[in-house]
Amino acid sequence: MTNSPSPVVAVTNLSVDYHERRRWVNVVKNVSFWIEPGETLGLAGESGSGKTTTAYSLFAYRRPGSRIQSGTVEFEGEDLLALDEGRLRRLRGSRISMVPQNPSSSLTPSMRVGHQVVEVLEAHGVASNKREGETRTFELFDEVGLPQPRAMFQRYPHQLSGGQQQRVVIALALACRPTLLVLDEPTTALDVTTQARILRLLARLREEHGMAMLYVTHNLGVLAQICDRVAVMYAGELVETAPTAELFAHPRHPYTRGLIAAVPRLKEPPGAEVQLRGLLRRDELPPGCRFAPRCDFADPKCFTLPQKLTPAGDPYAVACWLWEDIASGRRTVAESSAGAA
Amino acid sequence: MRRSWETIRDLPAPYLLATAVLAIHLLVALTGPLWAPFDPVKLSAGPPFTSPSPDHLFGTDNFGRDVFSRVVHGERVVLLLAFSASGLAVLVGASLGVILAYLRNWVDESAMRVVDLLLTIPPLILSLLLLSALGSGYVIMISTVAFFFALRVLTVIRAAALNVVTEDFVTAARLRGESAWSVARREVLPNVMSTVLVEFSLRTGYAVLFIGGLSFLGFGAAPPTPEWGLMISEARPYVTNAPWIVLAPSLALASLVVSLSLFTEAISEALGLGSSRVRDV
Amino acid sequence: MRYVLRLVLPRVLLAIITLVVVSATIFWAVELLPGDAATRLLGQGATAERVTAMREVLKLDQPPLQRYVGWLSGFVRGDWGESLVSALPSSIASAGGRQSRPVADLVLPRLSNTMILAAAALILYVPLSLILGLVTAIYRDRKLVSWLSALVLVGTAIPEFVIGIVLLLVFSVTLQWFPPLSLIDDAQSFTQLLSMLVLPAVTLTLAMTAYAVRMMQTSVMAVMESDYVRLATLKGLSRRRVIWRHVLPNAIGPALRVTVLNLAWLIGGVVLVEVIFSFPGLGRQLIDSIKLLDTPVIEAIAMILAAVYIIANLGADLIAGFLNPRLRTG
Repeated sequence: MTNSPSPVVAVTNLSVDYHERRRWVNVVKNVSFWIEPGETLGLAGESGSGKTTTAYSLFAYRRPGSRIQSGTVEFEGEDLLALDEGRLRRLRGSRISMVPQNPSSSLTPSMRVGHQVVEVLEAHGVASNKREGETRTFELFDEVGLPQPRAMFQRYPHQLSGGQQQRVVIALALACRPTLLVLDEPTTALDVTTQARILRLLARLREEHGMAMLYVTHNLGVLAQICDRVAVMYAGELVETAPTAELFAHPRHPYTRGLIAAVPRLKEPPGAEVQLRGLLRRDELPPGCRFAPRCDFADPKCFTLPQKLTPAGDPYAVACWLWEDIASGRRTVAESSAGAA
Repeated sequence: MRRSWETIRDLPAPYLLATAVLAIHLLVALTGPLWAPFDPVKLSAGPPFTSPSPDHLFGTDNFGRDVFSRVVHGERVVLLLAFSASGLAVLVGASLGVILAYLRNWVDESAMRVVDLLLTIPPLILSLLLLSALGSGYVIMISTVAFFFALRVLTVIRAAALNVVTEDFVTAARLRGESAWSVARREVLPNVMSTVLVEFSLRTGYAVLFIGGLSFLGFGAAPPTPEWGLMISEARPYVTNAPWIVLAPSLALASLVVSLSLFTEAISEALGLGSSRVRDV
Repeated sequence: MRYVLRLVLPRVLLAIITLVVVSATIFWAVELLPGDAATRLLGQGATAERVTAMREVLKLDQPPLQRYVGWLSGFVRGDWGESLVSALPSSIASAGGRQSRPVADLVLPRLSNTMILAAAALILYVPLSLILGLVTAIYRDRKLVSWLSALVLVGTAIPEFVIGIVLLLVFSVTLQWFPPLSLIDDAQSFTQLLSMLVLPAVTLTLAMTAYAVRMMQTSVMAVMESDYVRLATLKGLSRRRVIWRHVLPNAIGPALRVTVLNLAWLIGGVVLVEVIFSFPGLGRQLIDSIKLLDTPVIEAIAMILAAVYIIANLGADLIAGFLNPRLRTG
C-alpha cells in the first residue's frame, strides 16, 4: 500500500463497534491509511462519521462500551492493538500524543495546570525531579506562547481563557517530543481569531520539531491551510484520499464534491454555496455505498454494490465505482435524479 | 412512541421483571377484594396465630384475622392513598412549575424563594405534628403528603419547563401573539410531559414509603384498616411468636416499592431522561 | 474571602429564616392539639376555677404571638419548659412548691442516645458507601459488581422499617444474636450497649448506604467518562495515578454532599428505627409525647430534629460550594 519510506503509523482495515441499546453498532469500517514522518494528514467528515473514533484508535484507546473488531495500528513497526497496557502507557503521551477537541473540559479542574504538565514529564522519565519538571514546563509554556509561564503554572484550568487552555493542552502534548501528534478538532471550541493563532502555532511547531500529525476536523478551510494530504470519511468509511491541492481542485467522490461545494467562498455572494441534501442517518445505511441515499449521482446499483477505496488515477484513491463517469461529465446530476425517480 | 417502546423492550431484565411485579400489584389492587378468601376485618376467621397453611396462606393474626386477605385488601388502600397523594402533588406542583417557568418575572423569583425555604422543612417531623393536630383523616394525610411532595415536583418541573420556554419555538409562538395559556398548553406542557410522567411514578414510590411510615408510627390509617404500614406496626409485638404476621405486609410493601422504583428508572431511561435523582424526602 | 461570604451568608440567612418559620409552624401545630395544657394537666374532672388558675400559671391567658415569642426566646436560652406528663398534677396545683420535670432533663439523655445511634450508623456508613461506590464504579464491567449494583438499586427502595423488621426477625428472633429491644438505658456494660446498638445502627446504615453508593457510583462514572480523565489516560499515566489524582478529587465533592444530605434523611429514619427497636431516643420520645400530648416535650424535640435537618441541608450546600474550585479560588 505504501511506496514511501516506512510510515510513522499505518492503520490497516480498522473496524470499530459501539455498544448501543444492547446491540453492537458498527462505527468505523475497514479504514486504512498511513502517515509519513513529518507529514500532516487531515481526516475530514461530518459529526458521526467515525473520525474521532479513528483518531482515538491510534492510541489503542477504547472508549467504554466500544470494541475494536478488527485491524492493526502499526506505529513504528509495532501493532499497538496487540500491546499490553504497560507498553501502551509508555507510548501514550510520549511518542504519540493527543490534542483533544475541547480544551476547557480536557484539563482536570481540581489540579493546577502546571502540575498537569509536570505529571507527564515525570511519568515518562523526561524529568527526574520536581525542579526539572517545573523548569521544563516553563520552557514549554514559553514555547507555546503562554505569557508569564511562572504565573500560569499555578493557575487552575478555569482561570485561563479558551485559547490559553488550548495552549496548555498543546504544551502537554509536546512535552515529551512525540513523533506523532493527533489533533481532534483542536480549534472548534475557540473563536476565529484564537483559532488562527493556534493554527499558526501548530504550523510553527511542526516546522521546528518535524513531527507527523493527524488533524481531525469537519472544517475543510482549516484542512486546506495545514494539511499535506486529506482523507475524507463518511459513515465510518474512507471515501477519498488525495493530496490537499488535488483534492480541493478536483474532488472525485460525490461526497467530497458536496463538502467542498458547501464551503462558503469570499468571491461568491453568501448563499451561493450548495448544501448537501439530507442528513447522515447511521441506522438507515444501505448494504451498498453508504453515501448513496444522499448522492445526486446515485444509480440503483449503488445501493447494493459495496464500495472500497481504490486507486483512481495517481495520486487519488476513491470509493466510488462511477468516479470516472462523474469526472468526465458523462454522468450528470439531472440524469441520475431522473433515473432514481 | 414506537421508539420508546423499543427502548423499553431493550431494557435489562430486572426492569422487565419489576414491571411484571408492578402489574401484579395493580391487578391485586383492582381485583383483590373479589377473590380474597376472607373479610379483612372479620375476627376469628381462624384460631389466632395460626401458622401459614393452605387455609390461611399467610396465617392468622392476634385476632384470628386472615393475614393473606388483609394483605390483598390492603393493596387497594395502599395504592389508592399513594396515587392520590402523588397525583395531587404532581397536579399542583407541575401546574405551578410550568406557570412559574413561563412567567420568569418577580412573581417567579419570589415564589421560588418561598419554595426554597419550604424545602428545608423536615417533612416527616412536620407531618407528624400536623396530622396529630388536625386529626388523621385520609384527606388531611393525603393533603399533607401532597404538600411536601408538590414542592419537590415544582422545582423539577419548573427546571424542565425553563429549558423549553427558552427555546425558539416558544418565543415564536409568543411573537405570533398567542395567549400565555395557549402557549403553555400547546407548546410547553407536551414538552415537559415526560418529566411529569417520571415524577408521578417516582413520587408514587416515595408516597408508598412515606404513608407506610406514617401509618407504622400510628399517624396514618386507623385500625382495623388493612393498611400495610399499620399492619406491620400492629404485628410488631408478636414478631417472636408469629413472624408471618409482620413478614407478609413487609414483603408486600418492599416488593411494591422496589418494583415502582425500578419501573421509574425504566421509564426515565426510555423517555431519555437521566436516572438517579437525589432522594429528597 | 469576598466569594466565601457571598457563598455562605445568603445560605446561613435562609437557614435561620427557615428555622424561624419551622418554629412557628411547630408552635402553631402544637396549639392545635386537642385541649390545652391546663386541662391536660388537671384531667377532665377539674373544676373551672382550677383550670383558670392553672392557665394563669402556665401563661395560657396571654395572646398566642406573645406566648410564641416567649417560648422561642426561652428555647434559644435553653429554658425548654417543663414536661406535663412526668409531673404529678397535685404538686403543680399547689402553687409555690411546684414539682415537675424540666423538659431538658427528659430530652437530653434521649438526645445523647440518639447521637450514639447516629454516630454508630455513620461510622459504618461513611467508609462503606465510599468504598463500595468507588469500587462498583471503577470495576463496573465485572459480573460480580453488576450484581452488587443491582442489589444496591433494590436496597435504595426498601423502606427502613421493613429492613429493620427483617433484621429483627433474622438476628434476634431466629439466630438470637442480639436482643429484640434496645433498652440501652438498662445496659449494664459496654458490650451490652454495643449489642443493643448493632441492629438499629445496621438498619440505618443499610438504608443510607444503598442510596449513597448509588450517588457515588453515578458521580464517579460521570468523572471517569469525562474528557479530562480520558486525556489523563492518553498522557500515559498509570491507572492508579489517574484514579487518585484525576478521578477521586473530582468525584468526592458530590459524594460528600450526599453524605451530609443523608444526615438530614437520618432525622426521619431515626424516628422509624427507634420505634421498631424500642430504642429510647429522641424519635421514639417524640412519638410517645405526641400520643400523650406532652406539648413542651414535643416542641423541644421537634425543634432539635428540625434544626439538625436544616443544618445538615445547609452543610450539604456549603460543601458543594466549597469543593468547586471555581468558587474556592474566584
